[in-house]
Amino acid sequence: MSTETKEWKEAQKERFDHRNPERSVHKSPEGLSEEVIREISEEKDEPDWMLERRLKSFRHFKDKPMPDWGPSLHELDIGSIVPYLKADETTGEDDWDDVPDDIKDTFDKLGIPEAEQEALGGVGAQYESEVVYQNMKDQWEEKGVVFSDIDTAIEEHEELVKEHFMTNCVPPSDNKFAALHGAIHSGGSFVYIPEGVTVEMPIQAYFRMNSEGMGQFEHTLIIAEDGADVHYIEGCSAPMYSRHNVHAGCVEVFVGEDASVQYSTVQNWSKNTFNLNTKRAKVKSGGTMDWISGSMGSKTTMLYPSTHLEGEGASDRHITIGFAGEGQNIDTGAKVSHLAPNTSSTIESKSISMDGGRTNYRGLVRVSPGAKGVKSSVDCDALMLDEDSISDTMPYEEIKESDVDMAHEATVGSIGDEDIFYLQSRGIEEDEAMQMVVSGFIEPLTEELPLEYAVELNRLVELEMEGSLG
Amino acid sequence: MSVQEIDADFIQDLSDERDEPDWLRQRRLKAWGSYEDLPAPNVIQTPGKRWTDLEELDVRSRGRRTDQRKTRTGIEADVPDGVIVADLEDAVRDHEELVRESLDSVVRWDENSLLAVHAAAWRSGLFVYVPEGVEVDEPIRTTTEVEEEARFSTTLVVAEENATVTVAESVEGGDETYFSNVVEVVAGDGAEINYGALQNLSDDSYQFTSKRGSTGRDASVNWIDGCFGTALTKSTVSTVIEGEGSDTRNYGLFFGTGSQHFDLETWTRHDAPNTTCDMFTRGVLDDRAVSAYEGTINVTKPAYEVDAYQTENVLLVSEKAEADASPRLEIDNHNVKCSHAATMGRIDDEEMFYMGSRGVDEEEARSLIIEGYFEPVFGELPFPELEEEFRELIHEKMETR
Repeated sequence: MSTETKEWKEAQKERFDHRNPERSVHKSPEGLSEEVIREISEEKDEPDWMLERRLKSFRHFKDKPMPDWGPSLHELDIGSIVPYLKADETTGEDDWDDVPDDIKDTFDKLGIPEAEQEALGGVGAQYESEVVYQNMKDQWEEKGVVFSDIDTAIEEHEELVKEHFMTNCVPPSDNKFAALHGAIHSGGSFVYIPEGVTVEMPIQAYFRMNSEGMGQFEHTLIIAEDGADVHYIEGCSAPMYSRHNVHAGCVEVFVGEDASVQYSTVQNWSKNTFNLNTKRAKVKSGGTMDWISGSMGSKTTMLYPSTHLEGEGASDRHITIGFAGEGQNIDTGAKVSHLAPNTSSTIESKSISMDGGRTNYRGLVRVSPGAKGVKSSVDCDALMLDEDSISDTMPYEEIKESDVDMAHEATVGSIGDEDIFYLQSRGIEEDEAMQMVVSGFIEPLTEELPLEYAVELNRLVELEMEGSLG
Repeated sequence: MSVQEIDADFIQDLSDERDEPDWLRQRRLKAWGSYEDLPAPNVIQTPGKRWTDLEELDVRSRGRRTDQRKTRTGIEADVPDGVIVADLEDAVRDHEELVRESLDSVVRWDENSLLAVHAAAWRSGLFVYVPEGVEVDEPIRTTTEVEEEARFSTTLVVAEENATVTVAESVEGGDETYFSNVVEVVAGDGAEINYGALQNLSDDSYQFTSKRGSTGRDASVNWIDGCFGTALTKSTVSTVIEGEGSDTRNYGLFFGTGSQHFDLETWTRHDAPNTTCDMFTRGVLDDRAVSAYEGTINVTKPAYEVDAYQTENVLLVSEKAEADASPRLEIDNHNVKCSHAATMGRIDDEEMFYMGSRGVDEEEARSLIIEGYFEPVFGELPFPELEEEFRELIHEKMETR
């Protein structure tokens, strides 16, 4: 490997692993209690209805069992997680110069302000539990596009938030971690695109956990009115600690008639993080929902973005990449409910496991009675790079309508020795050859991402593989 | 028909009447004493939905006694010297050690509650033993006409080194009958066992069946399993590949009409290198029939160089029918080629149009398409006669729909 590449890789590690000394103006004690929840709500000066919802969620959390069907969660001790940590009084600034230096420096290293200038329509940056920076370019703000943190949205668009926030999309009763989220959520984004407005450049939110042992519970609420069009990108990372962090985000997307929303995630949590998200979209007739997810980081990820196709002709596309290295269990998939006629879904999943990592595709496709003319295809491919790794594929299909066209395919295999041998015969070193094969394997998906993210994802893959092949 | 429940006295009497050896009596009593503590057979659960409700099966499993008739025909087959084909009860008496060795060697009664009830109450059965190097050319073909309120049937097929045998069993009849069926198939090194099953019980009957085979080195275990009758069937057909160089074919077909519910599980576990499996199930669902299919290919760490394929296709011919499917891969070794595919859909309009253009009326065209849909399952395994019966049954079912 050339010195140049080595230096680049060192720089990449510094980007993600960089840690600031912990500081806070408000930090909850470890663990969960009604008192802590009331404190968070008070700190945010929330209306009563939101506090009520938090407390109701907390009751659901206490009642719900831990999921027993997926990856082991026995090392996850919610009682020792810091649920809320506000690093600085500064929140929601729209000028990077007003963000405290140490925090700004973190996002500089991650390349956020730079990307904002070059390729993004708006940027939000969350540090610990609060959003420190949020800005939307004027040209869309003038058209009525709203991009703010949830606290600001509650102040300025209370009725919209009250109507949509964890009501009929992801109710807190959905699962244990949705309930946890509902009790202690903080930060995140509120995105509102008025009827017929297209946001031509992607909006990005970046979530950074800096402190040891904390939990991040940001909420993303996207409302795209009829004919609106937006691409929202979420990035996340944290430095590595020996104690476990937990991330239990929740994303709710409302796609109006003939509207189009793409939600892309490049997840690179540190390998001590439990990443347990609930993401769901409701799509009206003619609307389109795209979920593009790259899960690279975390110790354990459970992520199954879900789409309810509620209106005739609505469509869904899932593109999922899971990469599990040493000690990682990446359990991802997709859920689609076809509730109306002529709806369609396409699910493509690519998993890579190495160094004893474990990937699992877990998906559910439902077709309701009367949903005629549904088309659905599921493709899962898994690549295992060595003998220590594990790969499972577990799709579930529930078809209650005869007028459907449903196909599922899956493959699992290893890198062909011939491929590697061929590349080596061309003078390419073995580790580089492996990387090339893996990049080729995920290419059908990376080409769906905006260029910057495709490059980012490929770099992350290289970084992961470099660590093991040295 | 008055229904008599199974109880400990009944089990005891059953054993006494047959003057069973102590180990078998103990097995019955232990199983009866444990069933309540054992879990029910596994059923897929997704958010808000359980694919099969086993309650009725559960109630019937111990709510009905077997009666005394031996109604299996075809046991008196003409077979080469040394080959044993016998009623299992008789085999316990005449070949005790052979039976003792193979019983529970593949399927264990303590895996679930219904298997435990079966182990306690089984009465009829088939025992097939083929000694080393013997090839049985003619298939062993049995037919059971069930008249009892319950029937607990156990089949053991053992093929020693380099032996070959084909067994095909049909079960028919039934009147609100509970049919419990365990099949254990043990193929020694280089052996080949083909086992075919045709289940066409009355549509008010219930079936619980667990069929499993194991392979030595370079052995083959092949299945064809046809499910046509019963209100509710819970079925597992599976192979554990224990020996290097072995293979299995696991073929299945089902045809559900009315409100029939079939929960069909197929799986293969590869524990040895250089092994292959081919799993293929096709089904047609009409009226309000439901199928819940779970197919699993499991490749464990020691099994490298594995080729494993799995396909399920379902044709939905009625709007009210439901097809649930979960084809799974559980792969712990990277040096494998595994794939699965599942499709669900209705009759292709173009195919209908084509038939119409050839002067075939609509009803006839549908019949032809449905009957033809099963053909890819046939012809690969040595069951020509059984396959002919499958065809007739499919045709019959088409006529009466």
